[in-house]
Amino acid sequence: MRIKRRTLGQIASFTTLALISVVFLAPVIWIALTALKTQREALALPPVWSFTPQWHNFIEAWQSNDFAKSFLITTSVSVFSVALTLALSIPLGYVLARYRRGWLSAFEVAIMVVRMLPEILFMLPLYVIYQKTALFDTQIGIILAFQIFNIPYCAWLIRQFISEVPPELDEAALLDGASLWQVLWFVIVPTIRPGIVAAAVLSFIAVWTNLLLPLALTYSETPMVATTIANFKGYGSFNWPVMAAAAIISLLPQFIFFLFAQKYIVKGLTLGAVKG
Amino acid sequence: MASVDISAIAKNYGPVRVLKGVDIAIADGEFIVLVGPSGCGKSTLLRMIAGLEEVSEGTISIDGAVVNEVEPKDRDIAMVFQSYALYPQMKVKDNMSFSLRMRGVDKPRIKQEVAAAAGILALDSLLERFPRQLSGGQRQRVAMGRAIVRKPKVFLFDEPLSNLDAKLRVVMRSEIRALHQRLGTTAVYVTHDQLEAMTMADRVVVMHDGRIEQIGRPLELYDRPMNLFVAGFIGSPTMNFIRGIAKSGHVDAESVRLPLPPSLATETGRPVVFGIRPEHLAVVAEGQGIPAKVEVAEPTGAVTYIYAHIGATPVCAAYTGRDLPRPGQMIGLSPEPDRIHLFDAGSEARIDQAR
Ligand SMILES: Nc1ncnc2c1ncn2[C@@H]1O[C@H](COP(=O)(O)OP(=O)(O)O)[C@@H](O)[C@H]1O
Ligand SMILES: [Mg+2]
Repeated sequence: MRIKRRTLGQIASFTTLALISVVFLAPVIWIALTALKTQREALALPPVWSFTPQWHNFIEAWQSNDFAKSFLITTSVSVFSVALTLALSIPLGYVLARYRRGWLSAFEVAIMVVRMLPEILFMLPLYVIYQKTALFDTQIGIILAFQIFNIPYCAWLIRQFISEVPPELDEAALLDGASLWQVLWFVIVPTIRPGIVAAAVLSFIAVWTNLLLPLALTYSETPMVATTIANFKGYGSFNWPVMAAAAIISLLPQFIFFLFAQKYIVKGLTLGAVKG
Repeated sequence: MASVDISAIAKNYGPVRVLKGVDIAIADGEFIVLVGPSGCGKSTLLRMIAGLEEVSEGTISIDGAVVNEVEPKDRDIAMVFQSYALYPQMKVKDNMSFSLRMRGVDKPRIKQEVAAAAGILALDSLLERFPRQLSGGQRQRVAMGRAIVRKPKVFLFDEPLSNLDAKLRVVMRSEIRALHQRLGTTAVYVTHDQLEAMTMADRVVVMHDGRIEQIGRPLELYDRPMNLFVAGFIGSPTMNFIRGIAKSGHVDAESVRLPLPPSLATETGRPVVFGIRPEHLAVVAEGQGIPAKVEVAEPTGAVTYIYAHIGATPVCAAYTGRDLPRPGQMIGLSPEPDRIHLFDAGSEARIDQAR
């Protein structure tokens, strides 16, 4: 009896998970299929299910507008942005985890509030500042702007991971002759590597997919993938298949990054089991 | 190797005063054990010696130089933590060599020093493992290895054995002692276990509620506890205490008379506490000695602990005989005269101390 009930439960949860996956994956599959159709097939209703794959859509997407350029720029911006975010979030997360002071808690609340505010609130002041300081439409400018949103989140995430590390580890290292920076680099960072990778993945994806910041703070010199794809519509008719192909291409780096990071993210969930 | 001087040390956590003026002079090469109930401030004091906790008042000196403001890394002190605090992402050999690497020692020498320390602690076969692949006892040894590898001035231990099972604890106890004899490095060892303190220490510091109750060699503490707290803390089972009024030649306690040797004569009418350890309380036939009613007899092998009542006061006597008294039976108890301790009931101080 019991075994049967468990099997029923498993079937139920499997079905639920499958349904959820379909709901989440449907748009991606739709876009992937669209990317392989002709414009006419793409717009046909009801949708066409058998068609000759139009692989050249991908080549066309890569070659149209500034897509190739924006792809490279976005890659560079996200790599440097993630590096900067981590370089600042790790020490910040350490301070938040290890030092208990009134003003630090206030600061912690403040950065979370910043994180919760809608991005659009920052756009106007940033736009004005950027226009005046020559940061507008530069890689450095957009990298700095991303820090406003990525550092609070990453510092908070890393702080949680560091809180799990017993402070005696720091103390042992201090007594062993390490400086605070050496404690951070040799003891904390290796111990919370899964958390750091998770923070890196999340901020990488945030940079790749963000539309608002590039829209407000960049133009033709520093095109980003998100704005470039959005601009595909500007050429007379909507070329849906090419736009879809561009979208699929833009997913690839995130996908590759995620694959590389996946084992660490899963490990991150079990960090508690290996400490001590 | 170094002497450590702790002078008028106090520690406040906000409004809470957890150390209330502590003085200890630790000689070069001495093995000092801080012992006391949990929460009495032992770890706080140890961490202040290490430099991990700020000093609120007083001074700590190492080899005559005040170190209050010296960073932990510059104090040349090694500490073994209760949790061992091994670096989880480093192999045993890297855990052990960490301090040498931080000090920029060259590679061949690091290798040599790690090998030497590993040899002393029989860690040779574990060098390539990660801490998570070790048993509790092995982790403990690695923590010790990490401490000895760099030959510090002072070793600090904070309850290093309390995560081990009873058997291993006894083994490690003598191993740490042997290690100390071999290296001769000044050591401060914290424990809440009085037996650990007695068996390991050159001198024991008994702490209670942020103060030092007594400092002395293990047998001094056992033979001449200076107050009720130390008398009750050192020794197991604990010393029997019977309250009463001093009279000439005896103490009046409820219905019974507790005989006092002439050496313990004190003014009559003084409220006192009569103390006698179980092992100095002989079980004699009913009608002799102090009458007591047996509660239970607990044989442990060599001795049987007889729990009984003198009047309403529970007492324990260590008995080596084989014919055990039955619960409810009346027996006589006879204290060894020169093993009797007498304390003032008010100040709780030892009464013969002026002798
Ligand atoms: N960081 C701290 N803040 C406030 N109180 C503390 C702190 N650390 C320890 N204490 C208090 O100080 C007292 C002594 O603690 P501790 O030295 O750890 O005792 P022990 O090691 O003898 O068990 C305890 O009452 C404890 O609650
Ligand atoms: Mg403690």
